[in-house]
Amino acid sequence: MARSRRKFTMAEAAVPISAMIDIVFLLIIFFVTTAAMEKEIDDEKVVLANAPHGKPVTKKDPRAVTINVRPDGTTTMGMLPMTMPVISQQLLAAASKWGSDIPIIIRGDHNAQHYYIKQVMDAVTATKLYRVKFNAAIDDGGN
Amino acid sequence: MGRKKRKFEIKDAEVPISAMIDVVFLLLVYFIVSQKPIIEDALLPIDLPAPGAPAKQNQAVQLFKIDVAKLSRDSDNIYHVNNQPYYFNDLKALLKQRAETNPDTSIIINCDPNAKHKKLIRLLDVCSEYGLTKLNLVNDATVRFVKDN
Repeated sequence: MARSRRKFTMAEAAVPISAMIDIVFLLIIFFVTTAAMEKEIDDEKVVLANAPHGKPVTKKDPRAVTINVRPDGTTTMGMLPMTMPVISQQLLAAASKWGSDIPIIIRGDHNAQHYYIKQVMDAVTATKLYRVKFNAAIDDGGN
Repeated sequence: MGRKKRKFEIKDAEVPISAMIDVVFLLLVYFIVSQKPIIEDALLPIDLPAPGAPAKQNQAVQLFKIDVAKLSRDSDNIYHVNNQPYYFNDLKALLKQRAETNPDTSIIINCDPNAKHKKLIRLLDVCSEYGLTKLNLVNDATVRFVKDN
């Protein structure tokens, strides 16, 4: 009886990268979502007026409270529409936590009427906060 | 019967990177397409009375009152200084002159509630350009607010 031949076959050497791609995808999704959360305070419906000679924002105070004023007068904080009494409460809470020298940044739409900006400023002064700054865009073209 | 030689065939070891390159290109295209233009922000400070701050008395400060009013649809270029109408460029020249003679001039800005915010920002920007930092924003309570359509 003849002996059967043994076959030695070697598999092709390959690095399994499919698992690595899965992890890379997970990391990308994580970074994309967390980056979006950081930008959330900037209301996309607010188009800033141009101020080419304004002081550029180099370092943002982490205590800064940003209030957005849309063209129709809707006020938002952290993308949430809020009424003036609620904004006053939020400002009071911020002032009691960090002190009355916290910067208040008003992001008013370039077409918003000043009446709506004034309402926000009145709420700020009523809570004894005084460091008010208007947010604008450094851009020569446009409005 | 003679034994045959065993054959060991070893192929070249290769990392299959073509799929990975596809994915990387897709991600690159995604990030390039979804990238928003970076708009640099500016801040224009305004003076509000600090709580407990002593009232400024007997100071020889020069006051300069500018009215930001909404006169008509085409009035975005007109400001009033001490009740005199000024075109924006004339106002700029006036503020430049004032900044050169007395940079400590206190500017009182009286803003109409119906005026657009960009008109105020344009004025604050000019003040910032010429180093006029003592800005006080007041509101004309006598003007009735009419909501724009």
